[in-house]
Amino acid sequence: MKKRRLIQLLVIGLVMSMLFAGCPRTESVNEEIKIGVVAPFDGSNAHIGQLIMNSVELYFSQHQVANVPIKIIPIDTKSNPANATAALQSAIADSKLKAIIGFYHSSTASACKTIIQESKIPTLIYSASNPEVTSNAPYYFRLVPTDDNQSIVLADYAKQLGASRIGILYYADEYGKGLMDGVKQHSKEIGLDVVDIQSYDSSTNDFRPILTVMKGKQPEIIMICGFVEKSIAIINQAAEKGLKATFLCGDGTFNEQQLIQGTGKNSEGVYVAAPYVFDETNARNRVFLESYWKKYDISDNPQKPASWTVFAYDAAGIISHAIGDGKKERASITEYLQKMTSADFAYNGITGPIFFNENGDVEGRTFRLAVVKNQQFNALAN
Amino acid sequence: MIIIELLLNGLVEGCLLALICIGYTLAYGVARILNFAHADVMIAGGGYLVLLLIAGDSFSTSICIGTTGLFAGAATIAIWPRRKLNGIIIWRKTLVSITLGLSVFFVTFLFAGKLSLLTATFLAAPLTGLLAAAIYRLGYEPLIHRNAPRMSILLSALAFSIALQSLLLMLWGSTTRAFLPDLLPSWLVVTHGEQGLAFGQSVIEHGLIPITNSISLPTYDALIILIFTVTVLTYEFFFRKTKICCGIIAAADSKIAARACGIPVDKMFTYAFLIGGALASVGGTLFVLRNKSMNPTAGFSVGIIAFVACVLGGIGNIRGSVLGAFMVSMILSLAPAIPLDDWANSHLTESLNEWLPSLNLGDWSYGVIYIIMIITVMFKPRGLFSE
Repeated sequence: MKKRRLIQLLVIGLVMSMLFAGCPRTESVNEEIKIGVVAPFDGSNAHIGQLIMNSVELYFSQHQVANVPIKIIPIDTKSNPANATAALQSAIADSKLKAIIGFYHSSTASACKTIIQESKIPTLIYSASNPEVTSNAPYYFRLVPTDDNQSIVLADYAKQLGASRIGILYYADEYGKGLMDGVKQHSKEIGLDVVDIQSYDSSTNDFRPILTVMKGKQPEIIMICGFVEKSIAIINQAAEKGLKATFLCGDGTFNEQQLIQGTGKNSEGVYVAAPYVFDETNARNRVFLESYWKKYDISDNPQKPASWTVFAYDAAGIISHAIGDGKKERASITEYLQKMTSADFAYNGITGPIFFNENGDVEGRTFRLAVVKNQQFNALAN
Repeated sequence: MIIIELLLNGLVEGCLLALICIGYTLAYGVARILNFAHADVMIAGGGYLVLLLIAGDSFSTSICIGTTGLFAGAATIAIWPRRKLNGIIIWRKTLVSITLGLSVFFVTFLFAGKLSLLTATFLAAPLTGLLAAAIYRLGYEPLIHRNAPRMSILLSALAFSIALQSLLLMLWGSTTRAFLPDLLPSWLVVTHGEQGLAFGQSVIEHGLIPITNSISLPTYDALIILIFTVTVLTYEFFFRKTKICCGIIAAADSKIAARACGIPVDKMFTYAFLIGGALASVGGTLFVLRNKSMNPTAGFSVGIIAFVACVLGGIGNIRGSVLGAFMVSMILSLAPAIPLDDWANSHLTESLNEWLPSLNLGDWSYGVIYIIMIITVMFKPRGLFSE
């Protein structure tokens, strides 16, 4: 009886295998290409991953890429370097993954550096701004200006505001610490007095102790080198403490929707640095915003998405141009990106022409500052 | 002056932390369970209160249905009859628990967004207690009944913590929700007016209680101290003498002996979780009130630090863990003010300063707490204030 079963199974197996052998193999000309999007999709920053994903999906829903089916793969960092490397390891094992749009946090970008260089996947960075990220990393291409530039912009503006005493609060990770070091150094160079430096991390909810100590040292300007959730708490608690200093925040805080909603009136007069500020008089900006709102925010009073969404959109644009140019392998896409070294080979994105220096960092960009006025970000003139 | 402000801050934070520590200690002292889910229950309670206050504003209807559904389900599970009773009673009790679940659902759904802070707190506290009790009924009781090893119960606790946090993330989303002051009465909202106002005016209009010329305590901080004191005093002088508490203590001492005396041990354990959960809800409410924001993942860090405070003071011992909570919060509050880095800047050479890590103790405050905990446990394994 058992033997008969076995033979039956064997026959069925044989027939099935013959059936499938007749199918055309999928390695046709237009093989599917997968693009990985590395962002926090889970945990306390899940909404950021959603924004990034939205804008990448928006790009590919608007643009057909040379009849190549594109599949977007979310790679979840959970805001944490250890999770990022693990998720990336399993994602790159898929040989169909040809390019990555990645990295919100500098800490995750640094942690994944070795893996990406070894597997030779071209990676376009939309947010991680720590200068060290792209050093010795030929497969990293960064669309945002670095924190070297940001710290100069912040410190110079502090001086322009007429301050002489500044205090720095920083989030204890690679981004916050790197930006703090930069600001500290440049402030000393231009003759500002750094009176106090305090750190906090993801488990800090009560900023009153560090704000009290800082208040005692009477800074005229307080720089916040950290991310928006904690900046909201800092600004609110400082207002309650009656701290009269002006706040200058790094680009981690640049999230108009969240900052204004979270701080209300307290954020009036807060300055925030941003790698890019939307300009509604610019036609391309308007088209992007309108299509974004049409797809994802149909409320009466739609908010401008944070600036890295537009960099993710441009990153998607660059990759799709490379694919459209017939570059369908990891190596050839990297070559395409490495050739984008001057304005002649630049990709013309929403944020303007994009081309890279030998380090893989975008050329000719600088951070800008916006100030909160009437519950809105207003870009300052350069 | 700075020192006084920091001490006051440490005191207020200590009260908040202590309310959470009491819940931890109740669960451990009674059922020998390290209830990791406790801090997430606290956040659920705080978030539920925010929901009751501002539903319809940034909480859409679907979020409302999900959250009230969670609490209604928890209420049903918490009082679901145990099997051993005879047929008729089970039928009646099942009906009662379902009715409770449904009424929780409809009452909160109808009143969400229309309640004042006080009524919302009174509604949220027992319901959060029921959520904690439901976690006990689902996650721990079956394990205790089957004589599961400690490790399984511990892992079950961890699993419930992560599951609850994920559920809240799913329901509320990951954005930190701001809880803006326009929902609160004016005496709870801090605003800065001119110097030298009269006491009454300062309290009522600006939400500040003047202490000296330059220092004033926000009214909500005073409220936190008040609520904490009332809670602890009620517990110490009133609740300890009630029948339920005697039952809980007896069940904690010896399950077998308590059962032999006719004390329903399971019920007593459930009560302990219910009380812990209700206190956590009060803690969560005050946490939201003080931080003006709410995030489903905030519970984790608070929970860990409360747990450390419990171990430091003596887990299973309420007075000890409350004192541990105050120690921890004082360290967190005072650490940034210790002028070690100023001393280093003025006494050490610049090259040495460049080489040294940051000497600001505020950067190391958690490390300091853990080192103190390790040393304490080395010499007094049951905590500083163990009996």
